[in-house]
Amino acid sequence: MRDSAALLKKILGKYRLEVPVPEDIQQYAAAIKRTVLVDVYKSAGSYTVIMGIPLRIYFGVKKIGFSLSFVQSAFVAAFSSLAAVSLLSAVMYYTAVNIHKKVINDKYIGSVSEKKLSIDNSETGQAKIIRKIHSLPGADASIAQEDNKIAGIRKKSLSENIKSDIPALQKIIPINKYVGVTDFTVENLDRKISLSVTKQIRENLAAKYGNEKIIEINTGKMNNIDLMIAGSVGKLGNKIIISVKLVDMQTSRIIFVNDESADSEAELRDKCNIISGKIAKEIIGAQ
Amino acid sequence: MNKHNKFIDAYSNYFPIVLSSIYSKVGNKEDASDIAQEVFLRLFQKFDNVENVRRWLFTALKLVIKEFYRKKNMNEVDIDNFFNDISLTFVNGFRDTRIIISEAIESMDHFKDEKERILFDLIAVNNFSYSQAAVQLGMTRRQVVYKYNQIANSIIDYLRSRGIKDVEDLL
Repeated sequence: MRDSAALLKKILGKYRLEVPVPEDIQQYAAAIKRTVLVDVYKSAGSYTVIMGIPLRIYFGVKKIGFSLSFVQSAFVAAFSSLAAVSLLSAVMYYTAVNIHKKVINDKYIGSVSEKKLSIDNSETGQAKIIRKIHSLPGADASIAQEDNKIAGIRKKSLSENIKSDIPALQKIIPINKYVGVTDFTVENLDRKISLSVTKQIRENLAAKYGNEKIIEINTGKMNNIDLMIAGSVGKLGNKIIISVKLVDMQTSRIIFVNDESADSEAELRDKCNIISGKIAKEIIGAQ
Repeated sequence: MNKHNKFIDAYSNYFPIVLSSIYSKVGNKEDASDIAQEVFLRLFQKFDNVENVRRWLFTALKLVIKEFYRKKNMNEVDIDNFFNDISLTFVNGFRDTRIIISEAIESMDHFKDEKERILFDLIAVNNFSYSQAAVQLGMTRRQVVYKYNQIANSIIDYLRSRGIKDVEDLL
């Protein structure tokens, strides 16, 4: 098979029909092509800022072996800009939402400087207990909302924040302390479930600690309470989250926090046993 | 928008050969790019009235080069020497053969469109590599090689049809 290209090249060279251009000039031509066009448009007074991106797309696509017209390049630029703006808006939205959630969480889990408790038998009274435990200045949020937030940040910030407040986190309470247990609040679940969880934990502790030492707060007997157990039961996705706090009423400090998640209501009993055991350890030492 | 579309396409196709032609005359790449910019600026201003872009560009570039060197106070005779036809150096039969070859490579019969002609000019006349020609024209290297070989075969066949039975004898 003849090599026509090579033959023709030799013929053109012999008859001085070639005007060879050095390789560096060939590369220079490719490098300045877009710039010269922009200068032409600027000199003609026809250059606009919106031409910039389509021209970059137009010449960029040529370099990789494809060809778009200028109009097609402009469409690509328009759609790309729209996609970029949409993506940026979505990122900013989700960032703002997450920051807002974190601010709310920090507000509810913050300091623990409660000095005085007042108890009544109403649901509002229980909400006040929880709120004051967390030293909240405001009182609008419901317990359920609060506990969901606790569940959301329990893995890191909650345990670290709480532990940093307590000089001796694993302090053993003398057995002669009285422990109050409030009804756990509930979020997105039947209230019977939270009452059942409260009852089971209380009964488990009573079995270990003695009935006279475990006091149901909603019965009104608040005198001489040394420790307070409060908590919540909520649904997060497909899981049921039980959050429990043990508060030293003398110092108003949270000395123990625990969260357990159950895949179903059937698992709640086991989780209550686990929580009870952990709280008992906190109260009377290892069993 | 239609004018911009057509002008930018024309600019993209002809820029490398215009720049190459200017560079071959002036020998300086910065001057060559300045002159090329001026040539295409004038094309943009008159684009609506231009029928044959290629012919217009090669006429204009000669004028702009002359103006460029007049500004540099170059002698008129010296400027004209830039454009002296090299064919004058060939004599007798060689000149005739050269004319036949020139006609062959300038005939549009070998090219499907103007873009193929530009491709041939870049590679055959200006010695652009296949890769550089591909970048300039928005084609892949494989496409450039294929098209150029097609064109070369067509030209060789044309030369044979003009009585040059053994093309290798031209060498």
